[in-house]
Amino acid sequence: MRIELNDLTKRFGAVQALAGVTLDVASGERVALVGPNGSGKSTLLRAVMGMLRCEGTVRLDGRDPFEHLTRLASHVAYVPQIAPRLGATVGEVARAVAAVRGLDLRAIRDTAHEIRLDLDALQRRPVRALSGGMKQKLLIALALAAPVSLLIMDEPTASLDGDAREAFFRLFAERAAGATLLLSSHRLDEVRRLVHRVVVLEGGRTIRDTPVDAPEVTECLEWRWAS
Amino acid sequence: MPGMAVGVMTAVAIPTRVAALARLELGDVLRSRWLIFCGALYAALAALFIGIGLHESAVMGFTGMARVLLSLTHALVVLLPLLALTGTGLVVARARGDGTLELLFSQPITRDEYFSAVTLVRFGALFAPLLVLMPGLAVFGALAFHQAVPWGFLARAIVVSAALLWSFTGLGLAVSVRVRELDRVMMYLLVIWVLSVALLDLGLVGLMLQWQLPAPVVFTLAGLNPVETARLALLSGAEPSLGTLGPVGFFLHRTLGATWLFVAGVTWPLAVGTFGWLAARRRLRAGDLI
Repeated sequence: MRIELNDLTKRFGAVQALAGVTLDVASGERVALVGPNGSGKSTLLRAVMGMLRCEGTVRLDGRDPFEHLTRLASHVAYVPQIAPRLGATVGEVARAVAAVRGLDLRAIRDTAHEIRLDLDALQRRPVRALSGGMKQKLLIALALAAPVSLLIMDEPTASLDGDAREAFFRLFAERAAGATLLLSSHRLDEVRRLVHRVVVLEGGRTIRDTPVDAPEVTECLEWRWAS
Repeated sequence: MPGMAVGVMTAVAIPTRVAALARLELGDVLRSRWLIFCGALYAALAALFIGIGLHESAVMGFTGMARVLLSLTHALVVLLPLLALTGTGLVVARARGDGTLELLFSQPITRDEYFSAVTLVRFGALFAPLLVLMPGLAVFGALAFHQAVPWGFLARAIVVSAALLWSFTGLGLAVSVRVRELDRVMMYLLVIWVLSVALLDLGLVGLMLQWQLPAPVVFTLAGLNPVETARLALLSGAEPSLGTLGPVGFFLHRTLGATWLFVAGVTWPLAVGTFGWLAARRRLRAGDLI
């Protein structure tokens, strides 16, 4: 799925979250958004998901996601940065997602199993009672349970331990090999293993757009923002 | 879904998506024990009025079961708006704050489907216990105390209560979609409830006397308040006396008649609720989800 952003601007009260971002991501391309906290990465991802009304244009395969959310969301998977503090149980959420996506519940269960999350054991546990890592695994399982053509992930491995992170990379390679990826991350290992291209945001603007192996990417991620 | 290949998505019909969202919302309602709370509150009121009403002599022209139902519905006219506001006012605001909307709207659902599911479940949770309790109470009175069931009044009370619940369900959802901070949501809900209850008959007369408001203004305020119109719709068909209706209600009854007061008492709360609901839906459709 192709992503086209043209002069994307978003303001929350006095805060300028995005200030005229223009970006073109070809179908199948994998792009990481990096930048300091508050640089507009999450806002940009949410705008691409059609969750925010912005100035400028967002197009996914030529369609506005704000207007065509349902049609596009069937082909899009999203892992938010902040796991929802849902009172609903893991089982209820998995069943609801399976139902609205027209997906067999086993697909979510199997995907969860691959990243070491036992969905059966957690059926009755409220989502908000899960640890940060478990919540993140659940969100990844929900996102990667079905084939999609666009994957949007906001710091997907931030709460995962080393083993789970490796399992996630394996799962990603297996399930989303041909999909377009838009990733927000502070982690150099995540960026290097998942993307081809890095877009650096600061103050809601694109300040650099470079291949992932460019030296300034390492510098940015290792020294400027990692700490 | 037996036979379906694992990991393959199929097209999902709108009712299936709404039903899935409604199940999720219902789970939330059951977990919060809202349904139990509503049912218990209605039942406690019913028990109270049975205890008082069926064992005492006639007061103000009402006797036995008719009096119990009248007292119960009169109390509910004040209580239902509060229950509807608190049951709906926090739903969307809380879902926005705790990340539920972000998770749900990353799935192939529309804002309308989510809003329909929330409305159906929340209104159903408020109305279902009432729909069971009122006829149940009437039948209980007939069996236990050999009282005649006032079917006409019962039907009137159920229709008016449903209209009143819808009115404040719509207003509650409008606040919930419009206001993001939960403490501000609570403040707005409280203001709406206090105004609607304070501007009942005696409160309106108090306003008229205190600020020397002209009578037409007072009657207009009465007509605009869905709680007052519902109250008059309920009482005007049962006992349209000055003592029960109050001076403003009595004047309106004399001017409009019981039938028109009933029509107004059902249609106006329905209109207010629908206006609030449409405003909420419009806002949800057009605004940011997060």
